Amino acid sequence: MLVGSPSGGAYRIVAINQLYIKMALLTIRNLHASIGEREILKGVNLEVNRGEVHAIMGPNGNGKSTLAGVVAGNPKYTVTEGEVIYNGKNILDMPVDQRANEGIFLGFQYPVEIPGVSITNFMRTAINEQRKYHGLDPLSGAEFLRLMEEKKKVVEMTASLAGRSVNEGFSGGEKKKNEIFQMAMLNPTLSILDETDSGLDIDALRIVAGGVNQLRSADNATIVITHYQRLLDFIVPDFVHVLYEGRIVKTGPKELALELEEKGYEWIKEELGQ
Amino acid sequence: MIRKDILPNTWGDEWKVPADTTPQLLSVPQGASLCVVITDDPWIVEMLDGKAVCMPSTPLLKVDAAEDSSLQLYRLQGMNTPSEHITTTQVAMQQGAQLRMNTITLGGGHVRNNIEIRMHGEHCHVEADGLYLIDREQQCDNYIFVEHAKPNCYSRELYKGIVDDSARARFNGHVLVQDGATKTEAFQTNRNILLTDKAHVDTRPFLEIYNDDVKCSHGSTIGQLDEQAMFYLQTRGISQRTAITMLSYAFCDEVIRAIELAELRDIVGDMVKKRLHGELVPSCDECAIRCTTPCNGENVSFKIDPSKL
Repeated sequence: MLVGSPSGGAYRIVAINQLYIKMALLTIRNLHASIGEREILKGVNLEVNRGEVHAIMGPNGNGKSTLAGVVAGNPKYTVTEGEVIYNGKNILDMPVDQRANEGIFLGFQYPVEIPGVSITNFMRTAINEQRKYHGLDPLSGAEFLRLMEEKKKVVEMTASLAGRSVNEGFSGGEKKKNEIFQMAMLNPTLSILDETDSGLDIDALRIVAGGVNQLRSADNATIVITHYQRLLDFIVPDFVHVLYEGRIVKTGPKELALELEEKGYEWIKEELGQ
Repeated sequence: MIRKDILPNTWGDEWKVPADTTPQLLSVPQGASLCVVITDDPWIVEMLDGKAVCMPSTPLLKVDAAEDSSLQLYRLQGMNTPSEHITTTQVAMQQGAQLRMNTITLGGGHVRNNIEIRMHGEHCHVEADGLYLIDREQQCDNYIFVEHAKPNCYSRELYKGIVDDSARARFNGHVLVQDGATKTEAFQTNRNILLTDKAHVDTRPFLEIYNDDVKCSHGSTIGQLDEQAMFYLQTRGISQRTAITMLSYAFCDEVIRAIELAELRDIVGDMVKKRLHGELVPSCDECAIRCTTPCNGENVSFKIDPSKL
């Protein structure tokens, strides 16, 4: 069942022998991950509850995208230590598609162009695989098209998608809008948006952020990875984390982002005694 | 039984057509447009009734394309594995002639598609594509020779293939640009996906150019499906198996999409999908072209297995 929390969010409550335990949607404990021999994540801890928006900031090359990739299950990273508990399940051994069907969505920093796969076919396959996973019948063609038209509005997509291949020939802004459109279609519980703001002009940023805000609810959570405070003017986070050298070294309220914008990351390094 | 006399096993050999072969002649009159589909499958012939001229395959086809004519020439081949399918197509093009060719190989034990295109006039336009999906012990060779003899002609070759089991594919492309053929544009591409360690591809894109005022390129790749794209599809909840099939089809799509005859494009698209799913039942070892009662496809074991990627 769901109950309200003081911050306006909702916690899923699990009853065990009359004891109510607050269960976080995502718990990352002491996560270590590497590419080949190079360790990138060096003990990340993070807890995300339903209804919350978390921003992860930090200088380039410190593990932000790696963290997103590990949670989504990118095979290019090897997890060497730690655990990722999502909705009560350790997901590290779950295949990528199963994680997605459990409700995890990754918005790509660089959405992949797939010539020859139409967006319609791609989304219809994805939706129906998700429905199959949850024991539902596939959507009919008409139902699917109606859903698609409805969700296009979330990101103010006006152009017809018929006959277009996934991300092929899309501008930077269109690619990012397409990511949020897919998010709207799949209705995930946990969305991780990896630098969704990169390469967007201010109008596209407003639309993309507006889409994310429309999809926010007390039942889902969003992790926004970004370099810039600018995005957080539109998507207001509950928490801001600084990921530096493979660890979350600082967590604060949304004002922390402003401070980082103003002072850069040097003062954090000083605080860490470097 | 493979006839060694017409199957040179070393690179660079010119193919020879046996002297006793009677050529089939096809002539496209000046300014005319013609769409020809070469297939031995009666079902496809029926499907394309009224849309295109259908012909059975012959060992030697000679095409004479007159000035400003336009020819679409499609070859669709899905015979059983004991079949040997060796054909030569020679096209002579006059000024302003246009040619679109698609050579689709889905079946056959030993397949050899020889194509020889000679552009004798200016402003000729050639797009010659090919697709082969082969498995088990199949062998598919595509030999294509394109001659640019006059200025301002364009040619493009795009050959793509997926090779499974211990099948072998060979691409031997030769573009000859003569001394006087200035402003020639010639592009040659061969891309392959290998599914097993035993699958084998030999590819030789080759340009022979005798003047400087040309724009030419050639390239070939042998590899696997794009890992990034695989991951992207899977993060949307699409299973690995489905993702592999989608990407394999997407790999073929570039060639399929180039088929201008819509009805044929749909047929080929459908056949390729079925071939990738292992559902295509063209014929078993007993029935050469299409299984009929009483066999009805029971003896068929015809399957590209994308899960091996």
